[in-house]
Amino acid sequence: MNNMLRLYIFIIILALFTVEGFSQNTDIRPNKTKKAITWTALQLIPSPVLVNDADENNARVQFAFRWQFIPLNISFNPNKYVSPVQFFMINPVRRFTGSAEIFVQPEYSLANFKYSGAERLALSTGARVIIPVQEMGENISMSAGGKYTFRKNERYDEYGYPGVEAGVYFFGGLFGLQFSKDFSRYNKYSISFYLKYY
Amino acid sequence: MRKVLLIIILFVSVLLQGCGILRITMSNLADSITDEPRKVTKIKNPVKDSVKISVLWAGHSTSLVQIYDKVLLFDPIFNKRFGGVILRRTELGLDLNALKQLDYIFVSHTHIDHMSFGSLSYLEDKFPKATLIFPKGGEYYLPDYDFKMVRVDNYESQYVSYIGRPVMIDGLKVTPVYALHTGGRYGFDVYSWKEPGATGYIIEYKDAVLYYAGDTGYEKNAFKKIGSKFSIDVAIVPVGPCRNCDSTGFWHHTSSIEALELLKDVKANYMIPVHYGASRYISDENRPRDVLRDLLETTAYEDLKDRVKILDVGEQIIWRELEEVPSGY
Repeated sequence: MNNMLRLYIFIIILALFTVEGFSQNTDIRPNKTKKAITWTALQLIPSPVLVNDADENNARVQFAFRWQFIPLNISFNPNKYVSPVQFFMINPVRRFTGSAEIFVQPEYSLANFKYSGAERLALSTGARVIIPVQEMGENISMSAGGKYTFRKNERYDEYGYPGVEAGVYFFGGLFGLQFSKDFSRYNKYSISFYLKYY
Repeated sequence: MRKVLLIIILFVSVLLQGCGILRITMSNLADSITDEPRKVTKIKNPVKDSVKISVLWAGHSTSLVQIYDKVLLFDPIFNKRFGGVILRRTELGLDLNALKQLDYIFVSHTHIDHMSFGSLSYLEDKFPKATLIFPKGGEYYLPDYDFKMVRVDNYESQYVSYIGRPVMIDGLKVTPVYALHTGGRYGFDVYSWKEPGATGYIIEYKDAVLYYAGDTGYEKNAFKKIGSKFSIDVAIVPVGPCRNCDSTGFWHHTSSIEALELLKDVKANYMIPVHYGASRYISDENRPRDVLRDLLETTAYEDLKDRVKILDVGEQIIWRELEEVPSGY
């Protein structure tokens, strides 16, 4: 696994550094190739998560990585020149100025769940609403939503559980904190440092 | 656990490496927490009678321009902090309560130091009938406003021939012109993706011609062409950020010496330097102005001395039928 992890990090870093990040040249034409490469690489950067790991007698937090994908976002406040509907590559302005979205979040724990015995791999999907708070949402925005997490746990004969989540986001919604309350017997909450670029 | 920390540090380092805005933000953060913007004197009646052209520099690039009976505001940023974190060193030099008329708002590009959603919201409440003008590409970084929103097609000026097709907007002739700059707003979309959404503007109304250069690097061919096509009365030109201001500017910005070359190229009667004094990017916020002053004392540029009008933040200069009157508050 360590080798896999190293390879994964290497691929992301290579992708970001092989495209020119910062230049003095006079070419100001939009570069769609760089856009595709950097966007893809940036989506591979996971959000760090602390997940509750508990049984009847013990509890602790387990470190995990979560990837943020947004297949669909519908903006409440688009101007007349742009579409309110976006898929996967989500313009931050149309998102944080008020929108609703469907999200998919694969999650992988960096160690076994000692107490709950749940599988390390999970997949959450759900919907959330983003509300602007300050500077039309660019400085601060908030979200609330519901989700269902698919996570196998043979010890409790569970295959998933519903949950609710709330978040607060900063600087264009690129960074934030998310809190999830999960209605599960063994993973009752998670706290995530949200990272997503577009 | 150490491995996990190392991984996180690596990820964050990669992010910061690619994002100039974040680097600037981090370097300014400490100052932003402890400092306050310097106070300035503000004019009580920014809109005047009997004016051909007036320019009130409100700080950074925000400029209130009056051309006869029309009142224009360029790149309005009223915030105490750019992007919510970078403190402006000098407060806004415009008394918003004293502003009783506004007809047009121009956004030159979508970077955080030139376009603020909160400032536009304020203006939307106060002047809902104003027209908001922005370049193509800017629409991706603008929410919906009650203003009449007009997107200017700057493809030709940016990528083909330096001068775009003019549009008439309620009596004002607006021509997009080349700016060596990009759109975008959040790091990679600026520096790597090079999103479209930056322009300069030539504004013509009656017999007055104003050039607002937006943010731009120095591109001699472009500015010579602009100068050959238009008889510019007043050019509002960005100066800096720059560390070596007597050589080249920092990433698609004109240095002090390049701004003077720009003035020679566009052959404007007068130039007003902007885009300094508010934010500390890579050197002291007023270094571009100081070097500009020094250059105007040299033999190479002393003939431009009377044409370069260096204003204080909040100061207004008025031309009545091209006869200059003393600047003041």
